[in-house]
Amino acid sequence: MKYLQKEKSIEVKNLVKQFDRKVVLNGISFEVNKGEIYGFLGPNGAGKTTLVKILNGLIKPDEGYVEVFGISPVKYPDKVHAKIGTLTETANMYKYLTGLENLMFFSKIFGMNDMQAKERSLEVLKMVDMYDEKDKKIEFYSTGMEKRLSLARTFLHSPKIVILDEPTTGLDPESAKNINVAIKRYAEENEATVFLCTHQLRYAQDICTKYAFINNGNIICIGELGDIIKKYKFDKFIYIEAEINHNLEEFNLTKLNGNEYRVIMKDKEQVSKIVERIVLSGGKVYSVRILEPSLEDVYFKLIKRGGAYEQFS
Amino acid sequence: MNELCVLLKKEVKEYIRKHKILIILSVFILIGIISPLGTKYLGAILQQLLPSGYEIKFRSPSEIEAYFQFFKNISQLGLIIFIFATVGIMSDEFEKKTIINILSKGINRGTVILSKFVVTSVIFLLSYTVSIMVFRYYTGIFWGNNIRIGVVIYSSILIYFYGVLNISVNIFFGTIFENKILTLVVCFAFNIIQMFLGIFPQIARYLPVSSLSQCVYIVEGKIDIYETIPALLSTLFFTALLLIISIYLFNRKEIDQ
Repeated sequence: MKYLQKEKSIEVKNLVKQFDRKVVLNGISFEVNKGEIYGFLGPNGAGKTTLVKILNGLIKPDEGYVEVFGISPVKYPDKVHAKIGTLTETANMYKYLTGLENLMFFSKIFGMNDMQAKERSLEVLKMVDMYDEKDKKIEFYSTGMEKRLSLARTFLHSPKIVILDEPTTGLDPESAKNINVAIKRYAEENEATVFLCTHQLRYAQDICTKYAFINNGNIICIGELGDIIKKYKFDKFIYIEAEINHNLEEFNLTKLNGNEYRVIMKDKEQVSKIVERIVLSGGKVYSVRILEPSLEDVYFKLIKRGGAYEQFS
Repeated sequence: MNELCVLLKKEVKEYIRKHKILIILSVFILIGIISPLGTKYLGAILQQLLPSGYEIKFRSPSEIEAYFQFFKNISQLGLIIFIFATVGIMSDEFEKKTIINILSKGINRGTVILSKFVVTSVIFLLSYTVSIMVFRYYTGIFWGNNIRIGVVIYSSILIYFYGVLNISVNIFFGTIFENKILTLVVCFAFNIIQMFLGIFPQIARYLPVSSLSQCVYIVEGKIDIYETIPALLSTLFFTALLLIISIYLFNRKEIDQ
């Protein structure tokens, strides 16, 4: 039997990092395979940004090891930097330079000559829909425009891994959606791996294929959303809007408000049985929907042990 | 080398776009103009300000007095403005959070510091050179430039390297404090403390700040060049030392942003 191993983009094992006496990363371990859009989710102060800095070789871990494409960012940061592009939450561009000048500056740092730098800068500006703003100084950009330009900078050298730390923080929904579209498009066109750190779950769910939840420096769970839901036995619900004339105790329906009822879904057969029973007893069914737990529901349940989702179950 | 060139260009653009070059050049050119003019016409100006019936008798000011005024203005007003204008060369990168973007690209940290040092030193050289050329133009008109050019150049070297020392102090404390205000305070403290220490003659000859007075004495012919060597060597030594330590500290710094 052939055993196929997925190529690892990022490998982290027993990583520990402490600042003064505070343990920020408490022996975390995970792997990101090539081509995944990996959501590293946690609240503020969970350790996400510290991990990003370690992946970039900006700070050293106290224990454990980390490899990016098999290379240690601690020992060989310059080799790692050639393969990764990073968008940090707080880092800013030079306000006195235009968007194009900023990108050309960073392009030349990557070793491009003037012509290559200009070509590539214009290309990535188009990728993030910032071409028309290229000659404006950054000081005149909105927050959304700055974020898109930062994303463009991340794509400059066509990295195979893109590390994004809170790319949609502070953005309106439309700008955040645009950022997500640009990230997804880049990942698809370049077969790149994306490592996304965020606490904005709605946007993470739009693009991520796999997740790890972190809180207080500890990994809470890892996996695809469907697997996490199965593993932790999260319930699906059936919501029915109906006029019910008879008592349907056997189905354990919970009345919500007006004509809306809810029941935990055991299997698909249950839906047709409930509808049939209501209709045969003289009632009317207006709508039926199945509500699967969202990333937010799963996240709050696991991270905070008692969020909105848990109240339903 | 490529990284250094890219960073140098960026630094120059910053000085131009933020109008720092304009401010520094303007102040230094002004010093070049007002030093000889002020010396030459001070008596006449004061006479104008007196109420009628009063008279002040001034002896004719000399070219050496003009040099005294010039070096005083450069080392006080000029240096103060220069420190103010350049105080953020390192600390701004931390305060404005632009440093992460550079470092996460894998750029050599020593190159970052070198680029700032080189560009700021060149701008100081340029500004000072323009200032002294303007000054020499007027001293030529008023006094005929009787002071030998070699003496002027050597005195200028003393002033220039003291300015360069202040640049390395700026970079050093900017790297440590990551804060413009603190860096500014310490830069001034560095100069003031030396002036107090200058009270002690045994220490004074080795203090870099002594260069600021020695440059005048050289022009006056009161001291020989060899008497300026301890202060000059001390200036060069501390400049190099502070730069090396800055690069060392910056390399070890964990960027907490």
